[in-house]
Formats: sequence, C-alpha cells, structure tokens
Amino acid sequence: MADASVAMPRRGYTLGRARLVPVLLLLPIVIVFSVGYVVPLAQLVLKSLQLDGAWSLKSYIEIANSPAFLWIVLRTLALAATVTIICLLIAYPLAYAISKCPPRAAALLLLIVTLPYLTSVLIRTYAWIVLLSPNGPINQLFLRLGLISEPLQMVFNSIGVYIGMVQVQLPLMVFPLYAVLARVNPSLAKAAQSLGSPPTDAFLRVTLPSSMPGVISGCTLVFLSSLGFYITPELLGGPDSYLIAQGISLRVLILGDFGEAAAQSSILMLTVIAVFLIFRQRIAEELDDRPHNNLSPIGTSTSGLSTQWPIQERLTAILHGPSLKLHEALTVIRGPFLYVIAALTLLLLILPFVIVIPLAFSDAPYLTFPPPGYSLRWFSSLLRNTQWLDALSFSLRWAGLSALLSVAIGVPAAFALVRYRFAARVPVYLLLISPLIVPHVVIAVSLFFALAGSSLIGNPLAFALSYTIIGAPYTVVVMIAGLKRFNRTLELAAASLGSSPLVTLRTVTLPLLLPTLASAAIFAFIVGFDDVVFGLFLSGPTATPLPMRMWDNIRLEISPQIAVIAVLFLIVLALLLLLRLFVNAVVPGRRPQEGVHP
Amino acid sequence: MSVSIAAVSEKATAGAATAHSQRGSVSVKSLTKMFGPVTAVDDVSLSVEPGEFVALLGSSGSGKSTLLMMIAGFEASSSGDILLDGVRINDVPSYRRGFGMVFQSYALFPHMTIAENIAYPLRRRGLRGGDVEREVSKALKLVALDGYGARLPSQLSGGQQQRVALARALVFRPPLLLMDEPLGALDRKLRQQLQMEIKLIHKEVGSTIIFVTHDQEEALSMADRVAVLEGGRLQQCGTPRELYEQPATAFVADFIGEMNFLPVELLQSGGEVCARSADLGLEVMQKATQVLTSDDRGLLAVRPEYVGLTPDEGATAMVLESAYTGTNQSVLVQVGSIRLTARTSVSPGRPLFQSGQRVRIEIEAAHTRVFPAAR
Repeated sequence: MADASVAMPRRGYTLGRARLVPVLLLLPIVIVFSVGYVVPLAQLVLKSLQLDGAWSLKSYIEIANSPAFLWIVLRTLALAATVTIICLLIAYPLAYAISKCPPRAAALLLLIVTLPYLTSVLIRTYAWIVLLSPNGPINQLFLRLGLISEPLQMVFNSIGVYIGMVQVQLPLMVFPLYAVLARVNPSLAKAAQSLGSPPTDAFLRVTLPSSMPGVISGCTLVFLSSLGFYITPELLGGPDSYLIAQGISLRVLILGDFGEAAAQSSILMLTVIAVFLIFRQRIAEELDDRPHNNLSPIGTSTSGLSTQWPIQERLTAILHGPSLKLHEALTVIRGPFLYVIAALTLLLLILPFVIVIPLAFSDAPYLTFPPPGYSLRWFSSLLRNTQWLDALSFSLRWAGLSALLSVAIGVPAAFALVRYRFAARVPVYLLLISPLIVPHVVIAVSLFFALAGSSLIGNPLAFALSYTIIGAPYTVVVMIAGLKRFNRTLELAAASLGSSPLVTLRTVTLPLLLPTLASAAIFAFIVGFDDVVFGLFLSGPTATPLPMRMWDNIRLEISPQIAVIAVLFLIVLALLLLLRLFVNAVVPGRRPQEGVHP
Repeated sequence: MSVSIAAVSEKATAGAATAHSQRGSVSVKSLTKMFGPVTAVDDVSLSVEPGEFVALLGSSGSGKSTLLMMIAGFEASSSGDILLDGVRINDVPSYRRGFGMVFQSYALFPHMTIAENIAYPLRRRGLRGGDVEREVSKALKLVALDGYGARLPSQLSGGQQQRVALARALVFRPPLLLMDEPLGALDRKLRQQLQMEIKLIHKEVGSTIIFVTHDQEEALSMADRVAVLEGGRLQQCGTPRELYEQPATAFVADFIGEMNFLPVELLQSGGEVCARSADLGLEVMQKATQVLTSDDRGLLAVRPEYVGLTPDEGATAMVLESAYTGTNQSVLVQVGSIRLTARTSVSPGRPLFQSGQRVRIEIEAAHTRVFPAAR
C-alpha cells in the first residue's frame, strides 16, 4: 500500500502565502453571504427583540399567550413528523431495491427519483390538485371500480397536504438511504445467512443497522424541510389547516404585523438550526475526515458479548423457534412485497408528470381531465401572452445570471474547503450550506425587512442576490463531492511532467471536472428558476418571475396553461440530459470512474 | 525558451545512455519530515550515483513513500537537504525539478489519448509538431506499445497502462526516475514480467532510478542497492548480497529472507566472543566484529540454510513439523523452550526428516551474527 501521504500531499504545508490562498478563495462567497444572508437574518432576530426602537420581549410574550399560534406549531410539528415517517417507510424499500439493481438500471431509477427534485414544486402541486380533485382521475378510477359511491374530498384539506408533501419530499429521503445502502457490503447479509439467519432476519440484524446513518440523515432532511414548507400546504391545504410558514407570510404580506412575524421567523429558524447542528455529523459528513465506522457496540459486558435482561433472554429463547418459522415464511413473500412497494413509490413520484402531459394538449377552454379533445391551443395562447413571455424571460435572465454567479463564488469556495485545512473550515462549510436547511420563507422575510424602504423591492437585483443565496449552496455541495472524488495523483503526475499549478488546473483539473461544473450550474439555475417564495416578497410591477405568474394562475383560475409550461420544462430537462449523455459519450475518457482514485 | 527546446531535441537525437551518464546523482542529507508530533522520516542520509537503480524498501508506515515524495517535491521537508548533482533543490517546486515519476495508480490522464499523455511533458517543454510525434512514437516503441497511441487509457489493461506511465515519465529524458510502488496494483505474473522490462529499459536509457516497494523479493531482484527503512529511519543501504549476508540491524536480518534468532550468553575471550546457549547445548566462537552488542546477552542470528541437522537418537532436539518443497525440506525443530527452522537440501538417497525424530543441531559460526537482546 502507498502511504497516506500520497493522498494528502499538501498536509503540513505552512508557507505564509499558502495560508492566504483559502482566504482569497472564500472571500467572494463570504461577502455575498454576509450582505444577502447573515446580516439580514441577524437583523431579523434583533427586530424580533425590539419594539419601537427599545428592547422588548413583547412579541414573544404575545406569541406564547396565543393558543392559535401554539396550535399552528403543533400542527406543523405533527405534519413534519408524519410526512417524515411515511417517506421513510415507502422510500426505504425503493432505495433498497435500487441498491440491489445492476448499475445501469440503478442509474435510470435514480434519474426517475431525481426528476421530481429537478421540476418545479409548483408544477407538481398543480398536478396533485388535478389528480386529487373530486372529478379528478383518482376519484374517477375509484368510482368506476366501485370502491366508493361518491367522490372523496382529497384536496384543499389535510389529506391533500400530506399526499403532496410526501411526494415532494420523497427524493430527499431516497438519496441518503440509497447512498448508504449502496455502500453496505452485500457479503455481510450473505455471511449472516451462512451463519444461520433467514434473509429477513439477516436484513434486520445486519443490513438495517448498517443503514442507520442514511435513515438519520434522510429523516433530518425531510423533517427540517417540511417544517418550513410553504408552497404545497398553501395550495393543497384548506383554510383551517395553517402551518407556521403560512402564518409568517400572512403576518408580513397581509396583516403587516412585522414584530410577531419576526419573532415567529426567529423561532422557526433557530429550531431548524438547532436540529441541524445536532444531526450535522450525518448531514455534513462531506468534510468529515475522520473514519466513519464510529459504531459503538450496544450493551456489551467485559466478555465482549452483548448482555440482555434475564426476562428478555428467556423470551428470546421461547420465541426462537416461532420467530425462525416466521422469518422463513417472510422469506417467501419478501421479494414480491419489496418490489410492489418500490413500484408503487416510483409511481407516486412520476404520477404528476404522467397527468400533466395530456393536460397540456387539451382543447378544452377550462381544466378538465381527461381532456375532451387534443389541440395546441394552450401552447399558442402561451406564446401570444406577453405577460407570460415577459415573466419567462425575466426568470431565464435572472436565474441564469445567478447560476453563473453561484458557480463563480461557489467553485473557489469548494476548492478552499476540500484542498486546504484551516481552523474555520467546518463552520464556514456549515454556513455556506445552511440556506439548504433554513426555510426560504425566513430568508425571504429577512430580505424583505432588510430591503424595505430601499428601491430594491421589486428590483431584479434583489432576485439576483436571493437566487444566488439559495443556488450557491448547491454549487458548493456538488463541487465538494466532485473534488473529493477527483484523483489528485493526476495533479501530482502533471507536476512531475513539468506543469505549473495553473497549467495543471487548465489542462487536467478543469477538463476533468467539466461535467461537475455543468451539474453545479444546472442545479443553481433550477433552484432560482423554480422559486416562488422570494417572488412573493420581492416581486414588483417590473419584476415578476415566471413562478409568480404560475402561482397566481393556480390560485385564481387554474388553467391548462401551467401544464404547457410543465411540458416545456420537461422538454428542456430532457435536452439537458441528452446533452450530458452526449458529452459523456463523445468527449474521450470522461467516464466518472476513470477520474476516481482506486 | 528556445535554448531549452534545442537542448531537448539534441538529447533526443543523442544516444540515450551517454546523455545521462554524467547527470542524475541524488543525495539526501539528514532529511527529516514531521507530521505534527509524528516523525515520518527521521534523519535519513543517502547518496545515489548517476545511473544507479536504488530501491527504498520498507513496510507500510516506514517512511519510504514520504521520502520519495520529498525527493519528488510533493512534500516539504522539515529539515535536511536534498541535492541533485550537488545543488540543493529543497525549494525548487516539483514541476521545475524535471524528474520522471511513475505512480502506483498509473495516474494517466483519462481525458487524453495514450499519445497525448506521452506528449504532455514534451508540450510543457515547448516541443511542437513533428518533434512531439517522433518522440512519442519512440517512447511507445521503448515500452513495446507501438500502435496504441490513439487509444484511451481506459481501453488498456493495467500492465499496459503502467507501461504508458513509464513511457510518459521517460519521454523527456529525466536525469532521475522516481517510481512509487509502480507494480503494486498488478498480479504476480505481470509484475515479474514488468520487473524484467523495467530493468532492460533502465539499461537502455541509463536514468538514475529510485524505486519504492514493500516487496523484498522485488527490491532484491531489481535494484543495484537497496535502502531498508523502518520507523522513518534508514536501517541499512547496501547491495542485495550485503543485506542478506551482513545485515546491520536485527530488523534487516529479520526483514530480508528468513532468520532464526536464538537467545545466547556472551563471553569475552581475547579477540573473540563465545556465544553460548545452554538449551541448545551449543557454543559458537565469533569474531568481535560479528557481534553487534557489548552486553553479556544477545541474539544469535542464523539463517535456516546454515542450521545443520543429523539424525541422532540420543539428542535432545526433536522435529516438530516439516515441509517438503522439492529441492529442499524445511524442518521445525524444538529444543527445550526454543524453536528453530532448518532448511536442508534433499538428496535422492537420504530419507526425509519425520515429525518426532530426534536430531543433533550444528550451526556454522561463519554465517552467524549476534544482535542486541532487546529487539
């Protein structure tokens, strides 16, 4: 084996100039984040602690004395917890099935899971309104099958919110579970079977414990993301089932009750940050250099054997025979059961897209499913409507600019975080990825307060700034992953062959990281392009992004127009995907495993 | 710039062996590398003559790779000097040192063809057009891969990739070639084949080679001299024969080949030392120079082939186990609390030793050394 020093050649490199490099690389992103994120959030917390310029806890006292707010908090917590549990239960079989697939099939299935993640939450929520409505396809199907005698009310109440939220959050659960399950050594379960465990028992005793890190990180992500979710509950929920994010935006946009809104935002943000910090080792393990096998044996005695309470031990002994029989019975149905659940989960993920495509080609003047006939009337109506086109060009322009800006500040930051060791490394990393966790409603409210009074509300620059704040974390995360996979020996080889560091960057590092850079830019673009929440707070007459037009359409008239946009969006996504495949196929040697250290 | 192009082209046309005969002496003086509190390389001094093939041999964590990385310029030294042809190069960045390097993981650029990989160092030195083409095809011929230039690294086998890496590291005629476990990722048969090829290529191009390996057989069979490292310290540097026959430390004696270590009492008698083991009923007279301790106890080191066994029903030593390997028989013998291995050559007429058989042990004094008892 080569010594560890090969992998980390810069360790202990302590020249003064080298210390300055990470600072310079991080400077741009830290400046942008300070201006657009840290300072506004700090002002928000300060605002919540003040009343008419003096220190006061009045806002908090009012909140604490308001039963309505407490109900909202309880409802939000219950929703987030329930959505998390449902997601875990249906995502696990899917992630497990994908991890057992051959690589090509697994890649395709992961792509299907990614698809919803890349498409607008608005589009998906719109599709659910159609799917779940009293005369929608699901009710029609159930009526025809005779399962129900009259349509179920599944939308504009909490059922709709739960279904929509689960579908929206599901990818966040599948990815970390898959990442862990794919790494679990398949020989472990086989070894357990060879030692006398039936397959289901081997799964419970070996595979499931090994996948706990993925379970924890998936649950944390879904729970945190659900706590501050706005769009889906607002569109699918009823008027009586307000959640905390809706409460905050209502206070700011309609009631003008800024003090309480600031206090509620602060509480939501601090709760989310606290949960995030508790579980950060699981979420933010990208930068963790320590070995990951920090499993501690449970309940062991000095003999090294695990100990049980006597009663537990006797129970286990009595149940040993029946439980073995049960596991053997389960072995028979486990395969079909697994694949049925996995298939249903996949169906849940893609159902909205299936429904949206025929709608776009509807010839009806209003929304109805299935469409009575097909035409391109909604496409031509979109292309003739200058309001939609203006919004589209606004979104393309400013989301595109923000994506470039995110790459420009995120890529140097990723280099600094992966390639250099400095004291503030982990805190800086947590700060840079925190916009992924802090609810967008809170960031948007803080920017709204910070910009209020200035001419920046309704100004495109405010969008450029906020899209960069929410887009840059994606570029940082994607680039860090790419850089960690990058085989640094190639750079040493280039140096030994006579390349200065800058020439190495140009001839070796950047050409090999090009696909990663493209992914980073696409992610940042999509995050800005999809945004609704910042639009709600920062829009003005001359600055209306596309999602705001869609939002208004869904709330006020709900026409097939949205389906047309969804289809166009899917076409663009497919083109991007083809481009990626084309780049992989044509550009020599750009297969990921080649750049990976063995 | 034009001067350097001329220099490279000129060397390209000149006979390779003569071009290097005067350059490429490397010496390392009191070189030390600390990683925090850990000393990875501890006060190592070593000189390598032009054209010499030296192996750095040690187990993982011995500091051999760190030493190589410091010579390559990928790791800064904590103290000490690195000299190339008498000039201190500690502060010269790796890309200006001009050493060829072959990595264990091949480190071929996956987005470039084989030809472009080999052309890479030439382009960095300002060569263009026909010159590049000529040098690349010459280098491919050197490693017997003519016609592979248009392929991608992923289309080649591991052994072929490593040969490309070798061609790429040699194409610019470096005075010194560094190899970091270059054969470690290959299977045994391919490894032996490439060992021979590397030796032949070394003879042909004449570069100085420093070669890191943990495989003692590889080091002994390939290198002119072998430097054994352990715990960051240079234990001994010498020809393979010196290491085998006159190990300077107990570590080297144990690490290279097989060795029995027998606890003995030492008695001074004039210019000689008597090493005595009561258990074995053995007394070996040693020249003082063979005894590397001044203590009155020590370890007598003797290789299995110098332990003689004679069947003797009255002896105290007994055969525990034996292994027949065709030309030899290895025999594990127990005497009192001591176990030692003997290797006897098998002759047609003589029966093999059997478990439980009583034997008399003889040790040839000339082939033993005495090391300090505390190991």
